Amino acid sequence: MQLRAGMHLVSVVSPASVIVLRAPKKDVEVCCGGVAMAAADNIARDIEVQATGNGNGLILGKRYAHESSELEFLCTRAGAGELTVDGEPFILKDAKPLPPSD
Amino acid sequence: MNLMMLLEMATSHDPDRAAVSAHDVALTYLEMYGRAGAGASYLRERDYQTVAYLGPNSAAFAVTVFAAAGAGIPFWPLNYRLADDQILSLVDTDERVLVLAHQDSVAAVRACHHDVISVDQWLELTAGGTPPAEWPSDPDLVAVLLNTSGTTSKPKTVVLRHRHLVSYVLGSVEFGSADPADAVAVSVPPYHVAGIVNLLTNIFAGRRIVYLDAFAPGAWLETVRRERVTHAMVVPTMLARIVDELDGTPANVPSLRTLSYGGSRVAAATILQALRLFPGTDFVNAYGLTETSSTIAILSPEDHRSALHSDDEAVRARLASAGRVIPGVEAQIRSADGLLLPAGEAGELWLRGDQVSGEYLATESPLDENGWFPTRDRAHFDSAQFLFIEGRADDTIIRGGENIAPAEIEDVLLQHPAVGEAAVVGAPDEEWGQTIVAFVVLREGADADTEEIRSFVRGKLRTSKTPDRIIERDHLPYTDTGKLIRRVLTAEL
Repeated sequence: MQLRAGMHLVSVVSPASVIVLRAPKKDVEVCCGGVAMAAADNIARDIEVQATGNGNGLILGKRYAHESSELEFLCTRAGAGELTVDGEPFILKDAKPLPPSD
Repeated sequence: MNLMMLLEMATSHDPDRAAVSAHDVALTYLEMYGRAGAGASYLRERDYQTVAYLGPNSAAFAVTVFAAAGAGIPFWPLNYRLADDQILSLVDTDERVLVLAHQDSVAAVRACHHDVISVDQWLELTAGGTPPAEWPSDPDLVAVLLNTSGTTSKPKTVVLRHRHLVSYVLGSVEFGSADPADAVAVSVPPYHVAGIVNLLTNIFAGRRIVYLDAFAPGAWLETVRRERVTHAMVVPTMLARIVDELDGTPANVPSLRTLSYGGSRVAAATILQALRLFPGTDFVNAYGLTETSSTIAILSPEDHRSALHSDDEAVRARLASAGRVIPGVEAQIRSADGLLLPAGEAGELWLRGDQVSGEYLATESPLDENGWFPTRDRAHFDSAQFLFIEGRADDTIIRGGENIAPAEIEDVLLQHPAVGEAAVVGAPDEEWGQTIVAFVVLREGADADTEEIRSFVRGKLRTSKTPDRIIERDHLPYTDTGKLIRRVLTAEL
């Protein structure tokens, strides 16, 4: 699937979802828990308190990057299942917060 | 990619945390998300194309920003301090615009526009709402329309899309990074870009927003103490008024960790006094434009301290800079001929990045073929990439072929003990092209001869930068967020 910045991807094995921040101009297969994630146009779900970490799962509000494929995601909903692209894992990006200016 | 996503994430993080405290109502994250859902349904069911907001800061304002996002239509805050006829000319349109108006303005708006409801009614009909079932995810949808203040030219309407604002938020704030006890005092009005991004970044961080519906320095200090405010953002005139109010007494605000200021140039004397009166507070200077989704450069607390304590003149000068450009934004200084200029040379500031819109309603795009936005601000970088804003390029005075930034002369005028306010503009002149005219407001009880002020300036700057004329005034024209309206002064010459 060719990804674009701003696209939502949802896991089919858990409630996890991500938004694309950066994507290469070529087809990639992104999986959560070993199963391909699906593009979602309209986001509909119930609010529940999110776990802040569960093993290899996705953590709400964290950024995930895969440098060689120039992919970057933001987790918009936590859930179980490791994030991979073409079989390779992502790294959790360190936060470099700016001093609060607002 | 939609602003509603930011609220949904923050609500998931801690639904029962306080989100907004205001004069109208206080809301938790879950309550605000529910109201945003109800508001979005209301707007969508009635096919509105835009929702305008005419009123001061309030929880209703915060709800409306997200409700508009959920409905996929632009949120358009109007300056409620404008005269009725100016407001009416803005909303006199055939489009399906819903105007949410403060009680005092409802009748006036209804005289020319059918779709108006009061902010109180809006709060009633969104109360107890359920979170949105869905929202449009197209990142290109327009999120916010903002009228510029038009200090040098005719006001324009800036278009900010969801991708611009979300990029800014994700690039500058760590999700959920606020402590549950954190609170930010917001006194910039809702029709200012800082009022919009303030809401978004603080919600994303999980910080409670304390809205002040009108700014008064005494009330601001009292609110900071009573609400144990940890963060605050003010425009420079507000900072100057707070410093005046304190009158040399330390502020006594132990909870306040960060005070950020920005929106226009600040007199160095104001910052020095403020740093002294708020000894336990970190200061942040933010520079940006409406067209760039606000902040593109930051002078950090560390930069303030280095500048304050350095023996090096160049480092001390950075207290008057806009700091360094934030990650995700690229900056260039270009000459009038489009040449890239090195550090130390002044020219026009051009910007590029995901948060940079540069788009206006009904106006051709000013972006160049590579996506660079001309800010019309004259600026230079120093050798350590600190950005110095010299003022609007349109304000530059060309006297006898020499480019002169009014700000440089204004800074010197303000060093004169009798001068409280100063504005320098160019006047048309047959011999020189332009001559330099300074308008000054003397400090209360001060007395000074204009010739004496001229020679004071001549002692610090070259003769060619000394005002040819100095005119005394009782006051100068400013916008209500403290920007000098130079075109009013220029028109008089």
